[in-house]
Amino acid sequence: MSKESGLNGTVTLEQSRLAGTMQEIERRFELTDAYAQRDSLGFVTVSRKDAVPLITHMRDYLGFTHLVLVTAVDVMERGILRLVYLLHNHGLCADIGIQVEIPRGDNPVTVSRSGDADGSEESRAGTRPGHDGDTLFAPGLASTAGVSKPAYTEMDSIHHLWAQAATYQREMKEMYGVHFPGSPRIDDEFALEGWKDIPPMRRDFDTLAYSERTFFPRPGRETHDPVEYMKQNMYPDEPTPPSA
Amino acid sequence: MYEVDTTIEPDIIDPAKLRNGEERIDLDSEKFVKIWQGPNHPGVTGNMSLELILNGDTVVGCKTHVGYLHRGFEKLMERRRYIQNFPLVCRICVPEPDFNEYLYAAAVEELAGIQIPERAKWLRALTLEMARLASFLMWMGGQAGSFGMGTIGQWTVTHRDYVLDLFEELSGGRIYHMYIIPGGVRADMPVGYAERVEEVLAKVEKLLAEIDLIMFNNSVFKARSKGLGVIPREIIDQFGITGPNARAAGIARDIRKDDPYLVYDKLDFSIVTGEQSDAYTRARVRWLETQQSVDLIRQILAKMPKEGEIHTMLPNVLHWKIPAGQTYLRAECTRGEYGYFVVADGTGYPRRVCVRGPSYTHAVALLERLAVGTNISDVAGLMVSLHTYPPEVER
Repeated sequence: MSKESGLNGTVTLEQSRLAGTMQEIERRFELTDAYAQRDSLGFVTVSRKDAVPLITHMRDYLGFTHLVLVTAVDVMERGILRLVYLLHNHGLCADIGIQVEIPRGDNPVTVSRSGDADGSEESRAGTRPGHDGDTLFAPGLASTAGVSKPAYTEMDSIHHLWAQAATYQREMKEMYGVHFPGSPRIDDEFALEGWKDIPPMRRDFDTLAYSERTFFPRPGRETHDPVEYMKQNMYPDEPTPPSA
Repeated sequence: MYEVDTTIEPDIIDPAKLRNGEERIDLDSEKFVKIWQGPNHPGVTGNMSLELILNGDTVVGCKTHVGYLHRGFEKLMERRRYIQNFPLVCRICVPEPDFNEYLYAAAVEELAGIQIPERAKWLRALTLEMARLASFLMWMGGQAGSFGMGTIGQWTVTHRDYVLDLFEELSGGRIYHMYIIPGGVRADMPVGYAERVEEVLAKVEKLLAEIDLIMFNNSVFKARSKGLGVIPREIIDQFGITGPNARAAGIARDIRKDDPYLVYDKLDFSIVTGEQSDAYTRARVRWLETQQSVDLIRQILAKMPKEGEIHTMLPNVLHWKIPAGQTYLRAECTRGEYGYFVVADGTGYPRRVCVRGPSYTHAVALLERLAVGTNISDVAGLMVSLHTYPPEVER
């Protein structure tokens, strides 16, 4: 329990009410990081192969029976997606977030079954949605001819442990492009319908650019640079600030 | 007049045969019909839809479809400064926007190491309980209406409006209050506010007594809600069920009691539970919790420090940089556990904000399970009895 990430913890793991649990986890699993955010909340990081066994052990033997949420954090600069499984122990009134770092992989992009949507560079780079109705997701557009098999970055499913996990996993496939083989209805659309772009919760999905190319511009919705706009309307005679 | 061919026998499938695989759902067999309930349907809470497979008038298959209200809140928050997200978060939830305000503010405060004044804690608790009261009143009208008692809905909506009047006086906003901000709250109570709150509480108490007589002693309501949508105790954790849906099954869990936040450890209350775990019991638990909210608001007003700061002095909000870290905070809203998972990366923008709404499981996995075997006329009542709210699912 010497591992401390030094992020923002206000107490050490030894001081927290999770001390006993952490000792048990460390005895059985190899943790790459462990720290306490506060007395009742800790985070551990494990490898993908240890993740589901650890989650199962915590549920079945350590009393962490409540799956609070499953989500992902896109750490684009390190080329990883950090999956977070937050488990709660009702007896301890404490939570542990199990973090798993998986390769981010290339952004899944749309490609038509007969090749590129239109063969353009934009389409190959995934920066523009295809307009061909018959499309599927494929990673990085490795092949420009014929059908590319979908090959998302993958994580093991936990739908057998909690019923609602399948919903979280469906959402993460749609929003982050993480596939959970075997998870029920994993290929069903979740909140988006007919989506043809990179998974929108990835950091490099540009919401403004998407809106500008997807929706018809309406009058009265011009975007102004705040510094320029305020200068023009409020103090036109003053020099432009250095940051502008 | 239509002539009825009495020689045709209805082709009703035994649900047991579907479960054990002797029969399967084949839409071409003409034994089943698929209908969509929602996204625009008076029996659906919010904008979501249920894809129902019927045999006769019994539901044999159900899939929840969301996405009609997806506004990408979590993505938007990653591209806005911490303070710019403050007027955004409340819009995730119409009935109880204050929980979003509180949890977002509390997460930022924890990550930044900000302490808030004592009086601000009491004012926050006051608004959270008032939000619970307004939400319960809104729900009660929906539940009564789904079983054909529309008049009760008119009464409760009126009384919810009285609570919204109080919010308007306190914050300037009726639905979205933007009252709880990082560092404390935005304004103190106006002069005479406590007295006006008491007037509304007295009206609500009188209404609750009438609802007890007219709704809970109504034979139609009893006949339709008792035995409907029973949640077995053993699936509570398996489906992540929280709030009144779990408490009606006898699970005595309430975050306000188990892990008190704000000033709940200074308030006197007990966890309301039921036993039968059906729609009637859930309604009863919520009715009792509405009374509890009235009592808690009175306690808060009585015990609150009469004077003191309501906001901590903070640096220029446009230049905040929150230290790297991550946290999860939860609170007990009327539907169950509401939570915010916030990740900061040391910049002026959050790296990730994930909103955990109780409807995420109640409206999807749980509803899909409970709807099977239900009569089509009871699906609306079942859905409202789970107090589902789609924007929590889609964010």
